[in-house]
Amino acid sequence: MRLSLSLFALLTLGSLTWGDDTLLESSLEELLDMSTELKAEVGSRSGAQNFLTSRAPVDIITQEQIRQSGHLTLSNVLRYAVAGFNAPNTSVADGSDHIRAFTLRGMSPDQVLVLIDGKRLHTSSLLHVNGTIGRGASGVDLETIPLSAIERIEILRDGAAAQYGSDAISGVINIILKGYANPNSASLHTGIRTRGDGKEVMADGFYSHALPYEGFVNLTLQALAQEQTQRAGLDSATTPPRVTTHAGLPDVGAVMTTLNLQLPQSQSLTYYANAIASYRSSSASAFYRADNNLSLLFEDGFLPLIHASIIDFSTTVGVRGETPEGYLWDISNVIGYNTLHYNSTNTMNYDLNTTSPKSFYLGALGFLQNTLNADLKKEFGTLDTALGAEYRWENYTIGAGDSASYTGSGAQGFAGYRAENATSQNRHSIALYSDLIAQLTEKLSLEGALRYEYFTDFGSTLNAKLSSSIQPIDGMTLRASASNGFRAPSLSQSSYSHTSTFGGAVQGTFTPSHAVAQSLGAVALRPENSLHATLGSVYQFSGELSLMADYFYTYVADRIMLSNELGATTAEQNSTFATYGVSKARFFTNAVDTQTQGVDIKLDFMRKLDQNALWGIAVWYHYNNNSVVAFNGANFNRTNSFEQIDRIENGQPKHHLKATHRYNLSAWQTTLHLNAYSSYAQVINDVQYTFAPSWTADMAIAYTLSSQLKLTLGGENIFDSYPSKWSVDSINRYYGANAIKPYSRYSPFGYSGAYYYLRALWEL
Amino acid sequence: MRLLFLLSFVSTMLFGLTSDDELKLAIIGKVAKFITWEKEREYFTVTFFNNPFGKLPHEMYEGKEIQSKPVRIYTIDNVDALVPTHVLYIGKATQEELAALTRKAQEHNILTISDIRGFAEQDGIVQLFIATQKIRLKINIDNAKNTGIQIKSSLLNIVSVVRKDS
Repeated sequence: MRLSLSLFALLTLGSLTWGDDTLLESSLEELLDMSTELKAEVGSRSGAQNFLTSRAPVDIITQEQIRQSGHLTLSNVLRYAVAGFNAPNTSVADGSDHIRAFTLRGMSPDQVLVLIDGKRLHTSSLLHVNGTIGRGASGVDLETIPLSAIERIEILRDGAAAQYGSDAISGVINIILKGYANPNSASLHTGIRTRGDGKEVMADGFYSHALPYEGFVNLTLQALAQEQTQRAGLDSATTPPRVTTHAGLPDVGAVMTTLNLQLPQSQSLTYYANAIASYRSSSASAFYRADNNLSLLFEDGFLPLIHASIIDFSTTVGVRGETPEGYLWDISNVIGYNTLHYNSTNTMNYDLNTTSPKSFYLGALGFLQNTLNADLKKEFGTLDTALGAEYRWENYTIGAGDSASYTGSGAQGFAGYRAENATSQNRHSIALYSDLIAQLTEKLSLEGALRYEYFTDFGSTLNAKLSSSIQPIDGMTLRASASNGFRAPSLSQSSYSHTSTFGGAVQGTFTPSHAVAQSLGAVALRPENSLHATLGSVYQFSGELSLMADYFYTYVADRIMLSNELGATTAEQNSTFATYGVSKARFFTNAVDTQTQGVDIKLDFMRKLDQNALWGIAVWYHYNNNSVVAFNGANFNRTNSFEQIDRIENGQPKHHLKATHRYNLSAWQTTLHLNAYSSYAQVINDVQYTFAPSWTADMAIAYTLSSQLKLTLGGENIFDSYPSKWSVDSINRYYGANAIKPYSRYSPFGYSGAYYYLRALWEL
Repeated sequence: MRLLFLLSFVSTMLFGLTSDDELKLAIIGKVAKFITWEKEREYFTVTFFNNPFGKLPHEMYEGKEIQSKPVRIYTIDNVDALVPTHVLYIGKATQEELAALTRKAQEHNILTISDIRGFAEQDGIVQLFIATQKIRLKINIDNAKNTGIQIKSSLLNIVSVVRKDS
């Protein structure tokens, strides 16, 4: 009865929107001001599809939504706009403080594929190895793309390895760069936290030069400075206890630029290219060293500072055209590179005693990827066919730090990469794929995709996908898909090592091929294999109101994880450990099988009112349940890896609700945005601590001063919400409501409190 | 039973949504209001070459008037079938077909409209394209002049104007 009433209410709301049968009575100006259908390229090779009638669930974030969010970085925009997208801010987590891990549907950061204009974007060189969300994965660094270069963001919420290859497990994020006829713009943004820290200043500019045949040259430049926030608690290691460590957002300075161009030569031949380049400098800290007996260079303890310099670029060049017979072809090459150089200051190497430097070069990580694609498409009546081939080459490197950074126990806070950790590993892969889309009737479409891929390090995979959509009545779409997929072990997972000496013995992370790791059971990494199913429906009650509901299921076999630090327990292991002088070791392994299922329910309503007013409401509820369902080998089980298993199952909120209310009247635009998160848990010393559900509110008021200038006053987390603290005062010196870190690093909205900003946007 | 009732209720109240095709067709009709043709005709005729809109043009313009004349819709798929008309909308066309159609249009005082890339920079008059999620218009006034078509300045104020040599 309750359901019926709810549906009735919804339908009644739908009926209120009746009456938009006035297209022919509208003026030309009004027609030119109407928005076209939101179409997404991602998820099908048959061209852009209306996201409301697509065969798989797709979300689109428009330029306008990006601006309304008030955020300055892509991961924050996605966190604002997408329920089920999580990107916690961490601190005291080495590299993870500088390159944020993000997840979709609570899965791993490396189980999301990111594309730029439909082409694969490289992942970062960082492997998250601390106890953060995303531990053991290398994801894409989303902070390298200036927001003012983006036309829209498409998110495919479905497995798509049969179409795109490795990584497309929890979803695909396709970032579409601005194209032809976008206005030139410039903006200035400044903001501050209510506690007076975390100041941000951002300036950006977008310039577009139109060329004949809808060609263009677009240039974007963005500079950003972010001051750190400080939310650390008291350090009981000092007398009296005082704040010693930094816990909060890091200090960041970044410059990003993009060039996007299309040079049509004729109606049937176009050259295209884009380049995205960024430099980011970021500083955070390790835990405070209070042991004055050892700190001979520092009389009163010291706080090691870790600095990351991140250079990232991606360059695409391509040519596409159409033959007289109607074959569409596209050949492109993408080179992507990410490197992270570590330095530390205000620290020392205890083993070097008073001769220790206070600053160190700790080494560098690098990842280079080159992807060559050739695609062919042809339409045969109601049948769309696509064929393609891809060749990819990847290289992963670790460069050693200076010897003082790793001699003995190494630099405090972050021991440098040792000479024996340094590596350069390559891999090639080749793929062949095809796609067939049949429009069986006007209302029924069916798509089948098949992809074969061979990797030089582990062999071949074959993946298939079947999806379908049907419109049983006008305005209603039912859709379903089933597929299998895979994620190739990243080169970082198979070749990362970072060791240091502690108490005269070596410990740390070893490659799976190292004798020490193999003595513990390590074998060459296999790909993660996945199975996917989605089932959903979309109802469009009018052009103003739509309701979308989708169920998803994903099974991942052989998920790769980083083991705990393990010691030798058998005679053989003792012998191997002794040979290499090792006391403890951890390594990557195909550890567990996981199962993920959940739902997304979205409601969007937008109405034009009298007096040029616009009223909009969007609600998005997301639920996911991740569980570990099988263990491979003895190194992982619920007892010996409780922290790691619990991080997968309970480390992120299972329920996530977003609601946005928008009201525009004349020159005024207001946005109120609510986020609600369910509880999550973190394990310390094998004890699970649960953190309460939380919610935040964002608000923005914009005023259009002239056709060219708009001012926005906004606030994020305007009620200054903080996540709940640990439930005990002090688990140890580091964690606890009254310890150095009062909040969990898993908090989905950080723990820096309210932020207010002012922005000026010029559009020419 | 309750579900059936609800479904039937839904099916009766849902109605066609504004698609890009509908928007384009509406714009085609509106653009015509800003045009003056040299030749008077009894009906207002719109011809679609390789019609990409299916039944929509007939459904939208059946019984409607443009410039106080009843609208007649024709669809053709070869160049030779083109007869004098007010508006020629060109769907998909080869370079040869495009050249032949625009040449014939110039000879017969026909307004040509298309969303083919570069249409206005070539021999076409009105080009539709999508930018920033809106439909935009490009008009080549030299081609219009050569076709004997006059365009009101109020239209030129809200579109991108291109010249023959641009």
